[in-house]
Amino acid sequence: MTSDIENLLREMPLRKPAASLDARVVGRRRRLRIILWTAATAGVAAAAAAAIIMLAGPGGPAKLPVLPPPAGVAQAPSPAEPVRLQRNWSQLSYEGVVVPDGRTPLRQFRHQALEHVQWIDAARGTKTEMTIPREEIILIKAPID
Amino acid sequence: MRQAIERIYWERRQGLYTLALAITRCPGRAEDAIQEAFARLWKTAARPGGDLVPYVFAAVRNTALDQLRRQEAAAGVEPASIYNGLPADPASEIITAEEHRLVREAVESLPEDQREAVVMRIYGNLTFEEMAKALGEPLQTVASRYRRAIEKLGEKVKRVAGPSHDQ
Repeated sequence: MTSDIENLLREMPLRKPAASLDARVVGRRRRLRIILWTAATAGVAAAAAAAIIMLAGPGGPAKLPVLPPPAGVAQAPSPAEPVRLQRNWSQLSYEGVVVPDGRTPLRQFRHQALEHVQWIDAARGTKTEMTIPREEIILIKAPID
Repeated sequence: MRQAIERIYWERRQGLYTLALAITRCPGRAEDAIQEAFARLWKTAARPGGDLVPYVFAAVRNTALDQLRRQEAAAGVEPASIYNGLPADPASEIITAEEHRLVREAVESLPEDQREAVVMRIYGNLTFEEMAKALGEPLQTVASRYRRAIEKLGEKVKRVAGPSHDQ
């Protein structure tokens, strides 16, 4: 009877966790990595900015390099300087198992981010803002249940 | 070490979820408990040597108990079963819908510590030694609790279903 009951218990259909749990658990670990990576990148960028200011000498504050404006504002007569670049949204979601080569199962995650950029044209007194979506697919070889 | 914990998640996620659900009786809180447990595990630098499986189960159990305390403080929540409403294979001769109902009710009527023992052993695939480590209790205590639970389940299913089940 005891083993019968154990067998019955093993045959019972269990309630499954939501598919989003994987992204919540493993994605969090990845997000921590991304945050650390972003912090490291920010450190390098700050060091580079300090180096530019030092190279510019004592003649006053160095001007930021001018980046090309987005396609929609390319016809503007005066150059516009990007004054702000900020990643203001990012998420990692788990999308299940894929087998791209027909042999090796891989877990697929999608990393999406939105970056916000502002261009200010001081001569014309205008401001252009742009939100740039970025997306990458991450494939991880992992044991499959 | 982190890779080992992530591997345990992929290999044992159903068992971990069932344990968390058996404690919280709420699917959402069970998932919250697992997320919280792993968030802590990712951040913790020092981990015990040897088998990490009981360590991960203990972490999930603790956060599930935390969730349960918060849940009890909140308004009444309809308790959820660890089982799905329908058998995996309704045509199966091994388990019928009636047996399914009997077993589910019997498991849910067990005292909490015995239900936990059954879930860890049957659905978490833990050995008695791993269960003892996860619960922080002597191996004999955990093994006896599990056997008592199984005996109780057997009696309940037999009593309700009749002698034809005792074969």
